[in-house]
Amino acid sequence: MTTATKVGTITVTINGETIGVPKGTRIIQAAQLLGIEIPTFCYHPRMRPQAACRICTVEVVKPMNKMFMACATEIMDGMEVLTDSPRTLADRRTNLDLLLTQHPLDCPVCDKGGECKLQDYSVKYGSSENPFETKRKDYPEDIRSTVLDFNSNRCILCGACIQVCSDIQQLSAIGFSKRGFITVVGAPMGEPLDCEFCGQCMDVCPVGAITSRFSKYKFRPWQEEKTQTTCTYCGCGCQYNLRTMDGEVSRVTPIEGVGPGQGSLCVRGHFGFHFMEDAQRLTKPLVRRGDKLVEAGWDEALAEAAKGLAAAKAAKGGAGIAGIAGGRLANEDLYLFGRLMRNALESPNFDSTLRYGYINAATIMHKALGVTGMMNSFDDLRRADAVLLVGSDITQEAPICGLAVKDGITKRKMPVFTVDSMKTEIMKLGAGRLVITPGSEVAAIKGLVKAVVDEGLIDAGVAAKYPAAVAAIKKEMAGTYKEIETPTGATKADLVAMARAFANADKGIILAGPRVMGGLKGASALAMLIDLAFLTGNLKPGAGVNPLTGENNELGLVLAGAAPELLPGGLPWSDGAARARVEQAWNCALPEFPGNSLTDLFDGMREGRIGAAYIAGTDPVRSLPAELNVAASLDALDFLVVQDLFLTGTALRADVVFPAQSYAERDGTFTNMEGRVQRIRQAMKAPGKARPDWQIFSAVARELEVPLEYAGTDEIRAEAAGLIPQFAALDVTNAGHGVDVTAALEAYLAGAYLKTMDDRYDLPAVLNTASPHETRLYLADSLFHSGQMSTHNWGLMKIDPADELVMNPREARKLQIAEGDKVRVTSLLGSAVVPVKLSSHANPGTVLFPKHCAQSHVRDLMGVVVGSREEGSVPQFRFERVTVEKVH
Amino acid sequence: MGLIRSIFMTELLMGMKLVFKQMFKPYCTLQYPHVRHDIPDGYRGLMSLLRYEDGSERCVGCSLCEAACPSNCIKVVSDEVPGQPLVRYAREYYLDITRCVFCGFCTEACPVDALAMTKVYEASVFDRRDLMFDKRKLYELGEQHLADGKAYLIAHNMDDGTLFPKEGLGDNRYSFPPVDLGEGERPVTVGLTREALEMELSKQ
Amino acid sequence: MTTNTAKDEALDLTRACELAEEEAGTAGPVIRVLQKVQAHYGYIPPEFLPEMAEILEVPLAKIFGALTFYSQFYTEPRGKYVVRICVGTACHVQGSKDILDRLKGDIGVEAGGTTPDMMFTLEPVACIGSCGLAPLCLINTETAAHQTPALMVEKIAAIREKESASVAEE
Repeated sequence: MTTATKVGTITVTINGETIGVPKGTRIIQAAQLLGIEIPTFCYHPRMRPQAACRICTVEVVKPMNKMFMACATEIMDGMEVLTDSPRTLADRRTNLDLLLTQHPLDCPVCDKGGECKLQDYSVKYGSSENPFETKRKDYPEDIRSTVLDFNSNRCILCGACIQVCSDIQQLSAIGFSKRGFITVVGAPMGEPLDCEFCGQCMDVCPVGAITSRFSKYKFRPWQEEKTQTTCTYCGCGCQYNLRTMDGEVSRVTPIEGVGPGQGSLCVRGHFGFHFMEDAQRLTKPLVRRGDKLVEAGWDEALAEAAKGLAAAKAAKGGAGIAGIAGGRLANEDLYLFGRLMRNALESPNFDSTLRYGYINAATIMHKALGVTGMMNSFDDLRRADAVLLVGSDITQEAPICGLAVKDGITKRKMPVFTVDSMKTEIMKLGAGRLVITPGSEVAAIKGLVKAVVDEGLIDAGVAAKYPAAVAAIKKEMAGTYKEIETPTGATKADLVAMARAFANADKGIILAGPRVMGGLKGASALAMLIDLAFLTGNLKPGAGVNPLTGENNELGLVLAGAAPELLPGGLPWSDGAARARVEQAWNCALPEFPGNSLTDLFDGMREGRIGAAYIAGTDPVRSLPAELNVAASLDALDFLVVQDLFLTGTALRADVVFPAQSYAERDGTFTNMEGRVQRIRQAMKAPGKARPDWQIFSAVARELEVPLEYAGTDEIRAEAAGLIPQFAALDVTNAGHGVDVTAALEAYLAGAYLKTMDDRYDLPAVLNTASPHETRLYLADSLFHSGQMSTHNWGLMKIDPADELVMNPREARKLQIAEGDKVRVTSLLGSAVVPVKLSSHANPGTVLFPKHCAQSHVRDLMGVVVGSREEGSVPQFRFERVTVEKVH
Repeated sequence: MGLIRSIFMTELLMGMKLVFKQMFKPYCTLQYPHVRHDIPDGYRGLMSLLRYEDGSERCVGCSLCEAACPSNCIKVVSDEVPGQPLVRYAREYYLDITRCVFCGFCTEACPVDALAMTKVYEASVFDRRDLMFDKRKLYELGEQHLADGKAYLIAHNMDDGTLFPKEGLGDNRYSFPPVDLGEGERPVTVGLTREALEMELSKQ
Repeated sequence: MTTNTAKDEALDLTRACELAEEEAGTAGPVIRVLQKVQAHYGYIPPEFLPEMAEILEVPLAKIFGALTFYSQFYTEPRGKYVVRICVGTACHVQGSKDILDRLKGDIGVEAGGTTPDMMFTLEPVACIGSCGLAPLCLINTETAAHQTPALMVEKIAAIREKESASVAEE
C-alpha cells in the first residue's frame, strides 16, 4: 500500500476475467476496459469520482469481502470483483428503489424520457415493486433562466452538474442549497440562473432535472436523427451531434471523448442552432435591376456573374478583380475559390479575413518554425507544466481551448500566467497575472523577454547551441525597464516574477491571442514570443508557441492560401518551387509578385484600379469601421458578386447575390486551430434554392469556360491534398504537435531571423496620442456571439442581446452610471449612444464593446491604422480613445 | 353411373336437400346496414383521442403510441402549450388509418388513457386522403364515441378506477406545480382547454 | 451580539467586509467568515454574500451551499432571546410538544419565527443532548430542565417584565 501511487501493472479479476491495469486505476475503469457495464449516475470520465449516487456498488471478494463504490475505489493487486453477483444486484435494486421513492414518474412528459439513465437502470436492474414509500417532492420547476430549466422533483442529487460547473467549466454557477430531503440544485440566493450557459450541466444530468428551454418538449430521442458534425462558430472545431426531427434541428448534443472538446461544448455550439432556420436566410439568387435586387434563377444569376467578372477582366486585366473569402467557408470552398480567382480569373488579388490579424501568425509561424497554426494540441495544453497566455480572453474567444487550460488547472494545478488588459476569467484562475494598459501587449512581451535575458533565465542548452542568436536578442535588450513600465503599467518585479516562473517550467506553452497578432506590430510581437519560447528552451515537442484563431476555419484560410502572400498549403508566395507546383497542378501561370492586401484592395476599388469583386462568406461593410470606407469602395466597383447566408450589408451593394448553404446543409471539412481537418455533414435540407459554396464557385467557373468540375467535396479535397498535404488525413492533429521544429528553427536563425531583428523590438507608438479622449475603448470578442451567424440565432440573442458597453462598476459609480443607463461614447470620429452593462471584466479606464455588434455603430468610432507590409498590413481598429458620458 | 346420375338429377337433389334443410334454421346474416351486430366493448375499431370531462385534452404528446405502433402509422408533434409553460401537449397528431392494423398497442402504451378505440368499423371514403386522420378528427371521433372509448378502456383493464370516477375530475394527469416567473404567478391549468384550442385554431 | 432594529433598514456591511478581508487568502475561509459575521450581526445578511464571494474569490454557489446546509446559520435577524425547545425523543415523550404549542400561543409566533419586536425567537431543536433533564428548554445559553408549559410561560413573562423595566429606566 505504501507504493499505491507508483505507476505499475497490477491485475484485477472482474467477473472471472483478469486484466492488467496501471496502479491507480479504479474498478469502473477496469470494467470499462473489459467491456463490463457498471451502472453509474454521478461518475464521469473527465471528472473526479465523487461516489455520490451509490449505484455503482460492486462486490469485492478479494482481498476483503465488502461492497465498494466502483467509481471511487482504486484497484489493489489481485483484487477480485463481482459486478453481477446476487449481492450486487440486490444492493443496486435497493438503491434504485430508494431513488424512485422520491423521483416522480412523469417520464411521459419529461424531456429525458428515452435516454434517461434512471429509466434504463430501472428497467435493467430495478423491481416493479417498491417497498419504500414517502411523500414525493412537489417543487415548482424553475424556468426563470433563459435556457436551462431546473426540475428539483426529478433531481436525484448526484451532483454531476455541480461538479461539471466547478471542475470543468470552473464557474460554480450552480450549487446545492439546503440539506437532506429538501436539498435542491440551482443558482445561489434563489436567483434565476445567469451564467455562461454552456449547458454542460444539462448534458451530464442523468435524469431530466435540467432540461433546455430551447428544445422543451420538442423531441423524443428515438425520433431524432443525429449527424456528427463540426461546430461552425470558433476555431476550436468541436464535434457534436446535430439532432434533427423532420428536417428541423431539435438540439445539439455533445459526443463524449470525441474531438478537441472531448465532449464539452460552449453556449454558441450548444444553443446556437437556430440560424440555419432563420427566416432571413437567402433562398434564391438575387440580381440587380436598377437600384433593386430582385430574385432570379440560378442560370440567370450565374450568367450575369460570369459576364460581369469577364467584363472586368477584359477591361482591367486579372488584377482588376478582387476576391475576399471569409472563415465561414469550408476547406473545399476555399481551395476552389482560390483556384477560381487565381486560375480562372487570373487575379492575384485574393485576400480574406486572415487580414484581421491571423495572417501574421500564418507567415511568422511558417517562417520561423515551419509550422502552420499551433505547435501544440489541446491535449498538450492539458499536460503542460506552464501556460503563458498573452492578449487573449481565451474563455470567450476560444472557449473549448480555454477548457483545456482549465483542465490543467483543475487536475494538475498547472500554473497559468496571463498578460492582458482585461480582467479575464482565466486570469482569476491563473497563477500569475500582468494587467496592462490596453494595446501595450508588445511592450509587455518585450518586458518578459528582457526579464529572461537580464535574470539569466536563458536555457543553458540554447545558449550553448545558438550563441549568435542569443547575443542578438541580448543586444536588443539594452534599454531600461522604464520604457516597458511606462506604456504597460506593469512593474519590473511583476515581469521578472512571471518570466522566472515560466522559464523554470519544463514544458511551457505560449498562447497568443488576437491582441498579439492583430496589433500594429503583430508579426514582431509573435516573433518576440517565439524568441521567448526559444530562450526558455520551449521550442520542443509538448511545448511551443500557439497562435489562437478567431473564426472557425481560419486555419483553412491559411492552408487554402487565402491571402495574396500565401499559396495553397500555407506556403509563402515567394517560394518559387511551391509556386511552380501550383502552376503545374492548375495548369496556369502565377505572377511572381503577390497581389494586394485587403485595405489596398479597397483603395484600389475607389481609385478605379479594381473593377469587380467576388466576396464570399464575409461582410466587410459591417465588420470593418467606417474609416476604411468599405461601403464607398464597394459602391465604386463596376461589378460585385456576394455569396452568403444572409443579405448582409455587403450583399446589399452587390450586383449578384448567391444564396449559400450553411454548414448543416452540406458536406465538407473545417480545419480547427490545432490543424485537425474535420468533417461537416449534411443534416438537413437547405432553404429554397441555396447551394453549397463550392458548387457555386464551380458553376461560375463553368460559365467562365474554365471547367472546375467535381462530383463532391471529397473529390475537391483529394485534388487539394496534392498541394495541401494536411487535407489528406481527417481528424488528426496536424498542428506542430510532436513535430521537430529544430531544422526550420535553425534555418530561420541563420537566415531571416537576424535581418528582422533590427526593428523587431522597437515599440510601436502609443495609440492615438493626438486624441483628447481618455478612456480606452476595446472591441472585445463575446462568448455568445461571433457575427452574422450567431446574431441570427433568436436563442443566442435572447441569452445575450450583446449591444451593451461593458464598464467597470466602480468607475461607473463615479460617473453615476447605473446598469442599463444609456451613455454617449465619443471619439474623434463621432459618437454613438449605447446602453451600459457593469462588469469587473473591464478594468478602470477601459470600456469594452462586443466586436461583432453592428447595430449601434460603435465600430465606426474606431480609428484605423494599417500596419506595415512587414507587419501583415493588418488594419488595426480594435482600440480607440473615447469619452463616455451619461445621456439624460 | 354418370348417366344414371344425370338422368335422375341426383346431384341437384343432394344440393337442394341442403337448401331445404337450411330453410328451417334461423338466419345468421343481418340486414346490414338496417340491422347491425352488437359490438363487444373490447372491439378495436377506429382509434380516437379523448378529453377530460372539463374539455381539456388528455394527450400529453409523449409519443409513446408512436413508439409502440408496429405499422408506423402514428405521428406526434409535441410542444409546450402556448402561454402555459411546462404543460406538454400534442401540437399535431396524425394517424394514417390506411396503414393501421388495429392492434391497439397505442392505447396500451398511452400513460394518460388519452387513446381509446371506438366501435366504428366503417372507414370507407371516396378520397383516400380522408383516411389521414389529424388531431381534430381524432378528438371529434372521441367526442362522438366517448362511451365506446370508455367501455374499451375498461374492457381492456386499462382503467384502475381512477380514470373515470363517478364525480368530477379525478384522473391521472401529470402535475405541473405552478411556476414562479418573478412577476407574479401565472396560472397554470393542466392540458389544453377547448377554449385555448379554439383560439389556436382560429389563428390558423 | 448586537440587537437588530427594523429589518428593512439598509444594513451597514462594512464590518462584514472587514471580517471577510481578514480571512481572504486563508484555507477554507467560508465557515469562519460566516461564523464571525453571524457573531457580529446576529445573523448573516444575504446581501452580504455576493460581496463575500468577491472578496474571498470563492464562488457564490459554494458559500450559499454552506450557509443553507448548516442549520446554525441564520439568514434572517433573530430575537434577543432565542427560546429553544427540545423535541428529541426523550423530551417528546415527556411532553415537550405541549410546551412548544403553549409557547407558540404565548409568544405569538410559529416554530422558527421571531416576534416583530425582535425580542423572542422560538425554535424547536432536535436534541440538546441532556435527555435526563427532559423536557429541556434553552433560553439563549441558559438551560431550563424539567420544564412544563406553565413554567416556561412564567420564564417568558419574567423576561418581558425585565425588558420593559430596562426600557422604562432609559
